[in-house]
Amino acid sequence: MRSLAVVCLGIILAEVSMAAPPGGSSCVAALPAEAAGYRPAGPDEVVDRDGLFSLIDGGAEVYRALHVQVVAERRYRKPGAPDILVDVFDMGGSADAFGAYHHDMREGPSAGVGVESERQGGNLFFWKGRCYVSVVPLGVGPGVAEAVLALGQAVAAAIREPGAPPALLALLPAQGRVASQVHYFHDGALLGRLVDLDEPGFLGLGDDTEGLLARYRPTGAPAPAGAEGPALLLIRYPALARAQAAEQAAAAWCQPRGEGRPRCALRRVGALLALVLNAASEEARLLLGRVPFERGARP
Amino acid sequence: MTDQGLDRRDFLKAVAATGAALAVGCQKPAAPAVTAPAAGPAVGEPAPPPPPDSRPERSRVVLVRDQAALGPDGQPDPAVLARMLDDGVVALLGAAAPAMAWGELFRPGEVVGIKSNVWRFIPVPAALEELLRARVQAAGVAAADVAIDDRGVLENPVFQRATALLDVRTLRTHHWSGIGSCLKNYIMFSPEPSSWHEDACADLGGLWELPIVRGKTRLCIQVALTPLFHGKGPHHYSAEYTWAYGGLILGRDPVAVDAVAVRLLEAKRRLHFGKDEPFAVSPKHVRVAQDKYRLGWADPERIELVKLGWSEGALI
Repeated sequence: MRSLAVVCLGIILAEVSMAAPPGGSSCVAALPAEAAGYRPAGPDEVVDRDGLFSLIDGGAEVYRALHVQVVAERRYRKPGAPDILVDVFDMGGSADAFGAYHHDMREGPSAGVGVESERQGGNLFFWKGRCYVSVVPLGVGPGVAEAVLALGQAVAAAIREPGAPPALLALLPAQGRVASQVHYFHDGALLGRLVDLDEPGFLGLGDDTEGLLARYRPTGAPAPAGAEGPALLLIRYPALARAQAAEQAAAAWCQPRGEGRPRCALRRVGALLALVLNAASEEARLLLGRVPFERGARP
Repeated sequence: MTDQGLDRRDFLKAVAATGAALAVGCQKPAAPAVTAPAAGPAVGEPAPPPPPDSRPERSRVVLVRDQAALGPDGQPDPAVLARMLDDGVVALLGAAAPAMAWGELFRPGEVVGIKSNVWRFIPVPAALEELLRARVQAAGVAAADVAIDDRGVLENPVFQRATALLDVRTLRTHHWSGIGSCLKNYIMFSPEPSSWHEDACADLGGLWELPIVRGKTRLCIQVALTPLFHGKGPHHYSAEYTWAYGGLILGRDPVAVDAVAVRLLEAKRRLHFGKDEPFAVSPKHVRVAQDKYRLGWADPERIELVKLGWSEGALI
């Protein structure tokens, strides 16, 4: 009875941590009234997860798959300069904020804003706490890059808690990992965008699972893009039985087609399932051997 | 990678895919509506035999460019655009004069929907939309029988009774489909646009068999005035990843127009990044539209590319 109460309390706390804080989203509240001479050009556009399709064209599913709750877009204006759009995504938790940021490959230089950030093509992206933030200037010109940075810094400064990346990240072997290609997901639809598994349904993924896909450099090769190296898929299931079922299905999927090599290698310990794709047997074995399963095996 | 941005795995996956397909495209005359899926194709259905191939041997695509297409303020010059447009359709159809070319595309008594694109970062310029409207009307189509729309096409009464379509959009890389293609521009004809997003939007060619679309398209235009060659983040837009190209890509075969557009973006990415830089998402749907839906041609040897005007920095 006592253990049941603990479980119920855990569920309640988990739900509280996913809900928007009282008084509205702390991410939305972090939008500044002014930075670098830029002020709001009009009222914010605020949408929930269902309204996201109207705000962004083509990518709403990514953020919906990562449990986005509220998104606010504020257009900043300064006379004689291009407008700047700041979009704040309240992802409900820092793991999903990490996921939203890392959905794209992150190869650009850091801006030193938030927990992780990237300057790319004049834009600034970062995550901090439960917030993923995009700052996009609508033109180029003198002072624009500085204003983009100032707006980002102002948002980041107003987000109090830094948050933490997904706990699974600590289980990824560091050696050979391509830092720009670590992606977080819950369901198969998002995973299917990140790696070609034909049909990822066999993994039994859903909103209640979480996983990371990480690319590694080929063993012994110089280390540029890492695209041709192995990929490690790490998935934690909420129940042991689901992990076992996924292991069985994955083992069948990994079988070679024709005379080729196996499509993947796998290992499961408890509720944690790991697959290595795009690797020779020995390379896969070594990579699996470096995963500290014992630290993440509990559902 | 081939010059279509597709790798062998993409190709094999595409040809092995299941689902019904009928050959329709810009070249085809209007045909009676047939029953077709309103949403994305179902998975696991047996593949019917492919339809008879009625495509021409080659598809002509015209790239017309003008250095003066954009004024000093970066806005399109309507007079220059008009000349580019007319030169483009004349070259496309081999007509003697613009009026004859437009008259070949649209006829009196028809109802014409101009499917545009309102993406807020690089929309189809209003000046170009109005030029297209004027050309269609000059061909004899009544003003009440022409409409321009994007996200409201399914509710638009002109589109509902349209006998002819004109597909116009701006060229850009795309978060979900690799490139924003003429093929993809018809996604708003589906009641469930997101149902086409599976597998990098591989089956967008299937949109062209929807009854409201099938066999009606007379002209496809990729507006390459300031194309976007790379993008990241939720909006997939960066002003620094656009460039003043000053071009229009026109054709009657949407696959061929999009295949040329893919080549252009690939070339620009190669130039910018200093290496072959694959699209973040493969634009495989262009190849699939050729191989599975037989909508037109993506193979370069099947495309006759006619280039007009400003040649510096054409890249293709």
